[in-house]
Amino acid sequence: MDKLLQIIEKIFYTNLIGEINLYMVFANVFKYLFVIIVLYFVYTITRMIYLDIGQLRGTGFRRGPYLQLITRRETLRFHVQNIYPLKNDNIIGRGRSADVQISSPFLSKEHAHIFKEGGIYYLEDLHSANGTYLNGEPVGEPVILYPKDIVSLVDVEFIFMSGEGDG
Amino acid sequence: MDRFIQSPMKQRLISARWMTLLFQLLSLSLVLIYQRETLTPRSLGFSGLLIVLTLLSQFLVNLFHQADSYLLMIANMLFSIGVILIYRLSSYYGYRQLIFYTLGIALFFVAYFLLEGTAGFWVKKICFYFFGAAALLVLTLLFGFVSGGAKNWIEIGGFSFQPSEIAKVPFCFLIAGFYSNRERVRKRKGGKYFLMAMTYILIALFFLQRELGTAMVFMAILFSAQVAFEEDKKLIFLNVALAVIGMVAAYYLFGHIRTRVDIWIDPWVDMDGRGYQITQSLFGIAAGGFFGTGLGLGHPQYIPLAYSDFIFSAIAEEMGTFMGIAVIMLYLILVYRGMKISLAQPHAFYKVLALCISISFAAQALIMIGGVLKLIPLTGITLPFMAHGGSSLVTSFVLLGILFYCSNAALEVPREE
Repeated sequence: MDKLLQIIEKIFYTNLIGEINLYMVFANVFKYLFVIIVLYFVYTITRMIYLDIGQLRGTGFRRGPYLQLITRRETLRFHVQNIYPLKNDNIIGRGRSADVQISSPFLSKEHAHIFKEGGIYYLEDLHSANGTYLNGEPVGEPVILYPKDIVSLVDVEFIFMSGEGDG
Repeated sequence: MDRFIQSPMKQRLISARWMTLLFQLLSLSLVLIYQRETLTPRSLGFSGLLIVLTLLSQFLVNLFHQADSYLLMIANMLFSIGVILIYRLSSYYGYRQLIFYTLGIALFFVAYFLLEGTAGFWVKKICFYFFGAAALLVLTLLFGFVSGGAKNWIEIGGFSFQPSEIAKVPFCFLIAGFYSNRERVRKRKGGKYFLMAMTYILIALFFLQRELGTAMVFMAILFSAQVAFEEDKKLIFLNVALAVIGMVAAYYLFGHIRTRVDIWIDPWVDMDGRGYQITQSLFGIAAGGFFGTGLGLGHPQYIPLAYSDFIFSAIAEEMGTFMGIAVIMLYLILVYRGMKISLAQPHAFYKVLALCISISFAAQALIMIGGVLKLIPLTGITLPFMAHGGSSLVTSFVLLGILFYCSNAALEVPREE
């Protein structure tokens, strides 16, 4: 151990130019690095917070169609988002792979399907145990979804919004 | 988690995790060379344990999909900055701090699983929390010993600790219990004054111990909870009035508070005596400049208690004002996360609890950083996650574990009975 100490002493504490030794050089370079690293850390987390606020506000930063929860959240015993943005092809269900994942015990793993064809959105039921309803009518084969239609999945109700200034 | 933003978020998480590791590697290599007289296999073990624990805890936290994994990452970063500086000042305190960190991380997960196992149990035990907190403080008064002007230490079987730090946990639960069971408490006569009365009893106990820093933290928690959840706004004004009266009374009643205020107004008249701490702290911060003197090249050892109360000044001296700003920003995002958790949590009890815990971190950071910068009178509490001190560090991690549990979006909302 003493030997190691001497080597360290020799490498880092021998004066290179005047009073300056290698340790001082390192310490001075590293101090800039430390500030950059920690500020970058803050930056990455702040970025995540920004994305997060987008999710919390829902409509604020998003364009395009989405499903908005209309059931009062307090009555639900599981977690549901207020807003589910829709892609061209969406599976709604309890399963982990579902695009719109809702952990209601009454939902099937793959419960319903919303898809876009020729600029129009369709809703179809995927042979779910408890059924899917559109404006109170049971859904089987694909039916056209109009803006502000109400989609009911057992105990959760959503309103369909086209995201083009109708809400 | 929303599928649409999950993938960029995952990447950010990973890159932030590597930032902590990179900081630890670079700064450890520097301080190990700096503390070369005490370079033993033990100090290499210290470095290894720090890195492994941080990585392991962050890996474990990422397994909980529903909960907020940034909390522990921010705390780990704050702890890393703190422990490096403590080790640079004294390797003995560095080892001690790491042992407490190990305990803290363990209790972080214990707190999470304990709450998960018994979620419903905690909601209605208001009196139990009050007597828990009061018992801790009364025990200190009876069996405690004096250190640093306040009688706030207690010794059991060779371990000394500060019960006032631990009392923060039952106090946060107390407020959460009160506001989530408001209707039930209200029905009793004078029920709405119940919480304020209990808080003032606890604060009176702090006054007897002469520990006013923690009393201020309690007051800040009560005040924020009232602003957020109290329906009767008159109570807030009543509370402010009582707090002002209390502060003025404390100024005239206690000699050491007058001293604190005097040296805050003008530390330069008695620079070598009562104003020594704060002036050295200011000299240290000034000596650092924007980027600091470099780790090991400054003189933070001139600042009294540089490893605990004045760690912020020592950081500002050796790592620069920018690092000081970064530390403040880290506290800011930690508290922001806490507020967000509170807003998103549907369960009333855990909603209030999350707010109380984030305010407790915010208040401690504010009081301590403001104190060493001579913006407010100095009090002897600790900077959460950074300052040396077992009770404080472990309690902070327990509170963080509870906050981590509160961030669990899938908590079941109990049905109304």
